[in-house]
Amino acid sequence: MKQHAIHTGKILLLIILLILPTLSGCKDHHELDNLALVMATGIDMTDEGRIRISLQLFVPQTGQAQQSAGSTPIQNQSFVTTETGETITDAFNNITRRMSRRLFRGHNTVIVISTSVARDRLGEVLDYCQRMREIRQRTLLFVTDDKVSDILAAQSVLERNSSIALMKQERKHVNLETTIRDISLMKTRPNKPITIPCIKLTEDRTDPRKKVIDTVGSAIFSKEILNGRLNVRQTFGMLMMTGAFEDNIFSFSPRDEKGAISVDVQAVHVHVRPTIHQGQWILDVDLRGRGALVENSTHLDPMKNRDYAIIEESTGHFLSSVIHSGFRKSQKLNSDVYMTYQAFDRKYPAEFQKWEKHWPDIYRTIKLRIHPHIELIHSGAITD
Amino acid sequence: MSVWNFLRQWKGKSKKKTPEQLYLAPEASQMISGSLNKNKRILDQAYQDCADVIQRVIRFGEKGESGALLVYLEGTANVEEIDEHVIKSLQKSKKPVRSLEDMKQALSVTDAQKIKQFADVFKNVSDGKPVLFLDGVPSALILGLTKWATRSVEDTPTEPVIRGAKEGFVESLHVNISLIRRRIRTPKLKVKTLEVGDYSRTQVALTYMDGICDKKLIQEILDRVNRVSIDGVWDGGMIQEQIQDQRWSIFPQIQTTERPDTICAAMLEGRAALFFEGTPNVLIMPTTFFAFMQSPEDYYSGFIISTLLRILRTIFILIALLAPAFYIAVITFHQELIPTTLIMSVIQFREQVPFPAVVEAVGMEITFEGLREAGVRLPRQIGPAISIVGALVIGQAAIQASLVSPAMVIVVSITAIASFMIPHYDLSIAIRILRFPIMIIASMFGLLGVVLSVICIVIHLTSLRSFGIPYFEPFAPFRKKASLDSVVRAPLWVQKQNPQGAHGNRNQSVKGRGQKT
Repeated sequence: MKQHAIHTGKILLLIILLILPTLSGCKDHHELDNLALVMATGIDMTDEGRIRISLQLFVPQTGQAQQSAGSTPIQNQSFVTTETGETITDAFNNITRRMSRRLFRGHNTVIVISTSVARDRLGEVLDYCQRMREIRQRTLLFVTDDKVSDILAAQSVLERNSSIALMKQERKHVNLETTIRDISLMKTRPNKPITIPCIKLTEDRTDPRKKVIDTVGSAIFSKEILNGRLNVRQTFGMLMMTGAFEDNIFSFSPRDEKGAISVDVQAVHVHVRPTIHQGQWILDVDLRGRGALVENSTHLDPMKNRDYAIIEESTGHFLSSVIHSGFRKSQKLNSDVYMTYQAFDRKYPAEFQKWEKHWPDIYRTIKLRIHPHIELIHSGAITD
Repeated sequence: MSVWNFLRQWKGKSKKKTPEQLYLAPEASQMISGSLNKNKRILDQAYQDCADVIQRVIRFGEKGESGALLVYLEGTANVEEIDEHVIKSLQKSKKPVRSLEDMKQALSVTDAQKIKQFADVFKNVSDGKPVLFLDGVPSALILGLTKWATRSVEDTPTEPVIRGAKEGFVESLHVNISLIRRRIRTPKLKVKTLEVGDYSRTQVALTYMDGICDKKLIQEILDRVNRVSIDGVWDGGMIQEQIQDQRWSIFPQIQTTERPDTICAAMLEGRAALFFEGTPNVLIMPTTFFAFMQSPEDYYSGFIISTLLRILRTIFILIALLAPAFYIAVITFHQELIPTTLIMSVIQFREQVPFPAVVEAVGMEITFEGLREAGVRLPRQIGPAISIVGALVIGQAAIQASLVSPAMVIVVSITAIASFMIPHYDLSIAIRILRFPIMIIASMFGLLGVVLSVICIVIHLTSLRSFGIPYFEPFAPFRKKASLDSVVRAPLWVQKQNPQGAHGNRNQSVKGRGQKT
C-alpha cells in the first residue's frame, strides 16, 4: 500500500504539471466588459503634417436605459475620440493610453480617409491596415473632403451609429463597396488604379440640425495618389463596365422630347472586344441590359412599337454617354479603373506585355465604342 | 492506460466465498429425514425469527393417522390454491397416502417436484414455492403455487412514444418474458435463466434469437455475468456497470430499455437481452452509440419524418454538448466571430454582470442541473412549485439582479432542451457531464479547446467496444448498409433489400461482426 501511495503522489504531480502549461491559454482571454469596440476609424492630417486619428467607439447603454430603449427612439450609442501622432500606430497608442478598456478593432467596419491623407499617404494607410491583425480585410474604405471626426460623429437617424449607416447605405445605393482586400487587388494592376467611394456630410433639408452622409461619387487614384473624382453617374458607368453594377433608376430626357423618363436599368452584361488596328487600341463594348420604364412624362407612348424602340434606343444612348464621360475622365486622370487592360491582356498577351510598362500612355489613347442593346421589359403601364 | 490498471489494482481484492455458504442456513447440508418432527425441528432452527414463514401441520386420512407439514412464505404462496388443491384434496383423498407418489396423485397440482435435501427446501421456500413434507417419507414435494405481488403492465413514463405500443415492462420477470413471447411467437426465441447475487439470488434471464444471434456472444455474456460477485441485484444497472467492456468510460456500452418492442427489435438484429427479476429495466447488448440516439418510434412513423428527426437529434446532441462551451469561447476569445449588431447587444447585457463568462456559464449550468435533479427527487405535488421557482430564479430574477446576462439564459435553456432530446437517459447524462470539462477547456483555449475536446471524445468513442462490436459503428468502421439506419433512417424496404434474404443477411452481419472481434 505504501508503494501505491507514492505512485498516487507521482501521478497527481504529473497530472498537475501537465495541466499547468495549459493555463497559459488564459492570457489571450478578454472579457467583453474589458473591451471597447471600435466601430469606425478616421484618418486625417493636421496642418503640421502629423497623422490624426479619430475613433468611433461603441458606448454600451446599461441597466434601466436599456430596458426603456423599447419605448424611446434608438439613441446613438457612439463616442468619437481624436488624437494625433507621428504615425497611425503612434496616434492610436495615444488614444489607447487614455482608455480604460482595450480597444478592439475586430468590428471596425469603416475607415474614413480625409482627402489630404488620400492625396499622398494612402500607401501608408493601406500598409497599416494590412499589417494589423485585428483590422479585417473586409473593412470598407471611404474618402471625404469634410472633417473626418465630423463624419464619425454624425448622428444617424435610422441606425445605431454612422458607421453602420455608411456600411448599409453604400451597399444599397451605389454598390461601390471598396474593401481593403479590393484595394490590395487593385494595387496589382498596371498603374495601380484605385477607386474609393467619396462621401460628404450634408445638411438634412427638413431639419438642418441633422446631418446626412451622402455618397457623392468616387475618388480615382493612380499610383496610390488621389487624382480626381467621378460623379455618381460616372461611377455607375464604371461599375457597368467592371460588372459590379446591380440596378439603378436613371432619369433622363430622350432626344427631341420634352419631359423625362425614368428607367430602372437591371441585369447589365458587358462583352468587350478589343482590337489593335494600326497602333490604335480600340475597345468595342456590347452593352446588354434590361430596363423597366418606371416613370414617363414625355409624349412617347410605350404601347406603340415605334415609341417603344425610341425609349430603348435613347436609354442605350444615355448609358453609353454615361460610360463615355467617365471613361474620358479616367483617361485624363490616367487611372485604368475600367479594367480595360484585362481585355487586351487576354486577346493580345504579347502586345500587352510589350506595352505594359507604358500602359498610362496607351490607356490615354484607347478608343471606346459602345454598342448598347437595352431591352425594355416593362412599359410601366398598368392594364385594367 | 497504466493509470487505469493501477487504479484497478488499488481497488483491492475481495475475498471470494462460495455463494451456497452465504445464502443458505447452516442446516442446508442435512438430508430430509423420515420423521416429521425432526424435519420440523430443523426448519424451526433455520427459520428462527422469520415471522413470515408459515409451517402448518395437516392431519388427514380416515382417522387422521397421516401427517404432513406444509412450509411456505406468507405473501408469496398462493394461499387460496393451497387451500383448494392441497389441504382439501388431501383431506378428501380416499386412498391411503404412504409415499410421495401417492401424494402427487392425491393433490390436484400440476407442478410438483421431489427433493431430498434441505438445501433445496430453503431455496424453493425463498422462491415462494410451498414445500410439503410427508410423515415417514425422507423427501419432500415442491409445489409450484407461487403468487408474487406485481404491478400491472403500464405505459413507460421514461420512454414515451406517440405512436407505437404503450406497454412497458414490470418488476416481474415472468410477466416480462411473456411480453416478448407475445411479440415473437417462435421456439427460436431462447430464454436462458441464471442466478446472480450472493444473498438476493436474483433470477436473470438471457433471451436471444437462435440462428440470428452469435453463439459466441451468448457464451461471452454468460461468462461475464457469472464472474460478477455481488451481494444483491436490484437493477440491471448494477450488473451493467460490471460487465461492460470499458468500465471506466462515461458512455454506456449496454443499452437499457423498458419497452418490449425495443427488446424484440434488438433481438431480431442479433442482439441479446438480459432480464432481471424485480426491475423493469432490461439490458440490450451489444449496442452502438447511435442506438442511444434512436427512438422505437423512428420505425413506426414514416422514414422521411424519422430521418429529419434523427438529423435534428444529431444537431441537438452537439448543441447539448457544445453550446455553453462555444458561447464561452466566442465571448472571451473570438469576439470578431460575432456579428457586429449582436456583439453590441451582448456587450450591453454583459456590462453589469460582475463575473467572467466562464463563471457565469458554469454557475448557470450547475444551477440548472441542480434544478433538474431536484425535480426528479421531489414529490410529485411539489414539482410545479420548483419549476416556478426555477423559472423565476434563473430566468427573470437573475437577469434583473444583473447576475447573469440574458444571452446566457438563452444558451442554458437551449442546452437544456437539447439534452432532453436525447431519447436515452444514459447517454443524455453522459453528455451533460462532459459539457462541464469542455466549458473549462473552452475558457482556457477558446474554440481550439472546443475542437480538441471533440476530437478527444471522438477518439474515445471510436476506441470503445460493446461486447466486441465497435461502439461507433457504422461510421468507424464504416459500414454502408448499416449506416442507412443510423443518423438517417432509410425506408424499411431499402433496408431489407439484400440478395441473401433477410435472415441470411442478419445472420451474416452478426457473425461478421463477431469474427472481427
